[in-house]
Amino acid sequence: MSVSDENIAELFEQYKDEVRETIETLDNELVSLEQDPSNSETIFSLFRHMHSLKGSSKMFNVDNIATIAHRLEDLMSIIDKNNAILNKYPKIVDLLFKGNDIFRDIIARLEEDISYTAMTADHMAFVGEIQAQIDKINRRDSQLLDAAKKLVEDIEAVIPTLEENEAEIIKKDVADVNTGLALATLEEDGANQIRFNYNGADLTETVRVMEETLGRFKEEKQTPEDGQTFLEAANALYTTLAEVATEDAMGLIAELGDGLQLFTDRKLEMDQMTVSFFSEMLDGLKQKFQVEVEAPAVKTTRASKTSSQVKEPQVKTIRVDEAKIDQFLESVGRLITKSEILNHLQFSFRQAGVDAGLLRDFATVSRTISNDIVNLQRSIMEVRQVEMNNILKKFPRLVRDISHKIGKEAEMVIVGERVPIDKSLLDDVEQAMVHIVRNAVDHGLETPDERLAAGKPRRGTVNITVTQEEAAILIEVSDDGRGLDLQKIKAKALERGFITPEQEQTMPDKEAEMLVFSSGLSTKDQATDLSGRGVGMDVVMTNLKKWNGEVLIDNKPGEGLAVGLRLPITNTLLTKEAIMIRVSTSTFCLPLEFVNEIVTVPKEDVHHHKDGAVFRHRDMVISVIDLKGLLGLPDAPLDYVSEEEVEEPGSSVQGNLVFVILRGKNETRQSILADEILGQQKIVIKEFELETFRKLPYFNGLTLLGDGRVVLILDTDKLLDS
Amino acid sequence: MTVGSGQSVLIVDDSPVMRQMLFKLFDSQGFNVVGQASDGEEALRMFEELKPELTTLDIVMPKLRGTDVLERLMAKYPDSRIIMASSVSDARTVMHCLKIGAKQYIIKPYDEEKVMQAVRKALDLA
Repeated sequence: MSVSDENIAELFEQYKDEVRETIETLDNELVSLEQDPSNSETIFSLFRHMHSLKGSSKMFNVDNIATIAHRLEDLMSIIDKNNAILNKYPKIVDLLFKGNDIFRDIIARLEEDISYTAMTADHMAFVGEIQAQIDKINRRDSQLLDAAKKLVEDIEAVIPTLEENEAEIIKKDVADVNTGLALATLEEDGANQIRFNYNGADLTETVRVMEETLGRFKEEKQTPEDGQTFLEAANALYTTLAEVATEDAMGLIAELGDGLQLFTDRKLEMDQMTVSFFSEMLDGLKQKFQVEVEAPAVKTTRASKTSSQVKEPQVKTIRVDEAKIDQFLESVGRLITKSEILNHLQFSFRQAGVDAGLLRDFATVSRTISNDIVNLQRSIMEVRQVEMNNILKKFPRLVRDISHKIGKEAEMVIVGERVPIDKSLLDDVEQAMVHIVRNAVDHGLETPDERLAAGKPRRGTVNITVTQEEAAILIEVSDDGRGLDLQKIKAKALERGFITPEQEQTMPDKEAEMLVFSSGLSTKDQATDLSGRGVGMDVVMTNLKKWNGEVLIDNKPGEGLAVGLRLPITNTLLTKEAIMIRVSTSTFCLPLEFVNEIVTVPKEDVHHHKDGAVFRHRDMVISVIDLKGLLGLPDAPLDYVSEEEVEEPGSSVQGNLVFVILRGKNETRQSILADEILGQQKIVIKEFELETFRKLPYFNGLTLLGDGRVVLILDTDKLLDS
Repeated sequence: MTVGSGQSVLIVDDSPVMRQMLFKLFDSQGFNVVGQASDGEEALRMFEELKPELTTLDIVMPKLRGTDVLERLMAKYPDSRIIMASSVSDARTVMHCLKIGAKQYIIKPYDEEKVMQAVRKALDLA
């Protein structure tokens, strides 16, 4: 079977995706490595990632990544053998970060130019840097070893001059150091990476022989001597262990002894059963050694590490072009409109006096279709969902970079990576979060000295917690920094002319907190290139408004700040429930989520002021938005209202007025005077495609009704601001 | 020339196929298969009744496991010649059985020659 060009292209896309994924993972692991430099699991994982990066890049002839990954793999392999190295050379982490940035750059360039695979001068220079680091480690370690050997020789020379009891102690110590030195030298020669040491007995060679011979038996490639060789090694292992073993290992050792005894007594042979038995014994004992061995700076084995790697659950996936899904969604949108037409037809049929049985059948079919379409919409929306992790994985690196730059120490704690979010929200949410997180580190967290002085831990914490609520996603970014200084913020806002001196005095805290989201306001005395220029936080607001989100602030001066972003899930749905209202001669559509209540008020209860009309409802004063005035609509001619509509209860005639009270942000409530409520229905929102339409005030889209009419959708935000 | 010369054999295994295979093998090799048991309890009953010279004993069986059957038989008849029948994955259990008195083991799936080799050793035949 030959691989077509198309397949290769697709594989190459997958390769790039995989590398991008790896880069994100590496970023996060490097951040945690920096905080815990001797974490052997992280070290090994980095090693493994470099290894696979090298492998896959070679396969696609991406030489630059392959070469750099290869050298970094070498470096990680050295560190993997001696976890203490990173404590000595913390700069290695920067080197690794730099490497990761180079990978990122290469992948980005590959997107434009698939031939960007050769090593550039910069890449060569970087490989040189890695090599220099490797040389440095090797030199320093061998220097240390030489110095230690010299010291031991010197000590051995003076031992004979010491008192006997002193000499005994020192002799023992010297013997221990010698063993360690021997091991270290062996490792450096690369002869053996794995050593088995048990209560002072070096079993490495014995174990090696046993494993080798057992391996040959398993593959049925044994030589005639292998049986004898194995048994001798196994007996040696048993004898040694039986002497030095501590009690907890005794059970296994005795079992091995019994096995060996039976082997002779019952004239057994090295067959599948005995090979399997001895392998199990050996594996079990090796595990024991690993636990028992405690030799600083000498790594034992990698077996425990590989087993501890948690396997991510494998989910079968296919790659689908996002545009195709959007196309699909659009088709579903059209279907929804069609099913509204069915509803409309049903109404028309009834009026035309169609047979009741037929009408019932038609209604059933229409309802089924409508339900199916809703389900179809829901499942396609789920396809569009991705996990929050897509955004979140970028943050540990971001926080690390910012805090390093400005001399702060910060830890990132993330909860809720798996919460699903609609893909269309991703960019806006990420952008908003970047600004908030930046501000948290840059403005929120104090310097280590300030923190210590305030009795806080040196290292600050930035938490991102994502939770899924019933109809919304809540993203909370909190820090344990200094919180917002509202006085300072208000003073700045006054200086910039955002608020009046009177407002500065009377503004409630909750409102003052929101000032941080206004454009051009920065309280940082000197702008850093990170934040403080006063652009940014207003982006948060803009992005959130787009998705009908809200911002929640919990400010605890001196203790920290929490900024919550709540994004309703429904706004990513195609359809909304909406009410249709008639104002003057025009019909408008108003999404139900913006409607608080519809009330009928006697004409005489509406009071007119110079600024407009108000009425009282449930002890609240509700002002009336003059839609007719705003839109320049004529008063509805009386003959426009047909006989039939006069009978309808939701009609603004007969001395009563119908108001739609809008769901406002604050305590202030506003309403729209409707000449008539025409009904409620599912609408599919079409955003304006023509620039001219986008400039329309008070509208944010249009929808097609079942009877084919086009209706404008009212934008309540703009109305409320008017 | 057959391996056996009319020695009585009891075959214990919950799988009819496995029993059948061993039956054919022992029968063709000059043994006298006096009984076949399909679970541990039946095995104990038949052993008491038949006192076979050789028993093949499966380890994983319903009602009473092969290891328990072995323990009880060894306690009462320490000289009985029992061969454990098992798969490789039970290597440690098999060795344990040898320790408490089983003579040999045979590995499923059976290799006729190896089974007879184990039988020879268990019966101290040359």
